Amino acid sequence: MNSSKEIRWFFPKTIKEAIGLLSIGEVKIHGGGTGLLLSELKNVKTLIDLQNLPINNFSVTDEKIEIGASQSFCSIIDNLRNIGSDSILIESLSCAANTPLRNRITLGGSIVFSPLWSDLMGPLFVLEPEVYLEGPDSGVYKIFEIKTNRSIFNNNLITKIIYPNEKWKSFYYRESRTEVDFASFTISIILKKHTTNTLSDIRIAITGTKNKIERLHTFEKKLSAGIITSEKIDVFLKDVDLDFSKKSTGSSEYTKEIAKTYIKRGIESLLDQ
Amino acid sequence: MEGSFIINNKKRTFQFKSGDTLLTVLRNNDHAEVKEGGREGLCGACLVLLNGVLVNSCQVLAASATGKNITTVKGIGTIHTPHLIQKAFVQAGAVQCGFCTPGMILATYDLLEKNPDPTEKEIKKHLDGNLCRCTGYVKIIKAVKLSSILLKENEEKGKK
Repeated sequence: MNSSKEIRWFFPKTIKEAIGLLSIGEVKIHGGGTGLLLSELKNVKTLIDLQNLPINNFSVTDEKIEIGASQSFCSIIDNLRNIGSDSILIESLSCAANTPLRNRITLGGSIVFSPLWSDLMGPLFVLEPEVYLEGPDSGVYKIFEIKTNRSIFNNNLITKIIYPNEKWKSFYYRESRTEVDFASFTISIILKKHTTNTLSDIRIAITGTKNKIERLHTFEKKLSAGIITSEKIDVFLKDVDLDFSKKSTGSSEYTKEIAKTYIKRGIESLLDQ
Repeated sequence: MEGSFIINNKKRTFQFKSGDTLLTVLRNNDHAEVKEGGREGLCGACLVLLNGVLVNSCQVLAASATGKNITTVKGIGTIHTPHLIQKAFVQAGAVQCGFCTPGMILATYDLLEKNPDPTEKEIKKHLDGNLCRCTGYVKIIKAVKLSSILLKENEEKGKK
């Protein structure tokens, strides 16, 4: 894209300054910029650049993991690896785009943009972080609230997410034509085993459906209620209603069957570990 | 607008449109070694190091990069004093039309800085943002492996 647009730029140094600038109207936020450039800077007149704000942090305690909104996907991967984590985010974010783009795509930008092919949102839906917003609607929001209330991003700034530092077994799958293609859907599964074939907790999220992203709560409850066998997974999966549009990888019916196949494979592979 | 950049260790100041990408600004100011390919962040022809981080210059707005260090392929070696990675690419026969080569060299440089002894899988993963229409990638991967060997040999020589 070769832009000849004139854009007014601001480089605030504090969050308060950034929030003040958001209120002047017709402004967009520039984090890594990849989402903006994907839209070819349509309707962009004023940009607020976040690079000087103190929102590029990463910290860990025994109880929680905190990730600043300006952390790039590569930084998140490296930081999680450095603390010896086997978080689902390492695998999922490593699938996103390519190396140089992962150096620019930010956590905050990706939550706001939340494309259908996102490799971030599925894992976040199972990790259940709190999302910290500053602005007129300052507060701490569950990730599910952010999904249903997109207008919250008008004039508000994501500063960080915090999620519990817990040990999970994890499975991540993305369905695409090639390794670097946009995903038709992604499956995120994290679980804690009670015994070999019983679970103390399981969380499953799928992206790419007509609902864009969803947790399979009813299915999770059934799986958590007793011994799991391959036959039981098949029976429970019959009741899981996944509604897809036609995808580049296949028809909606085909995509539904493939998704269910990989949900089952994911659960079984985690139980085998 | 006017903005300054430190390009290959030299401070340069340019006039550019505030919506211009870094790729446009570099190519308009004597840095044709940064190639314009797909302009979507997928081909890797336009790769540069921005404060040491590998990025597609077509996906960076120049205004956000002012004051920063930018390394192009010329910043790591020249025709008279080529970097060992550039020598390795020539030696391995990994250059045909040469259009993807600057990006490949920088991605290789970035990889070997972080991981001096990568596996083939790690090479392919790190260079997943670099496309080549000519070579079929076999010799490029061979060149990266050779680069790793040459750099290690050079480091050993330096220690002796």
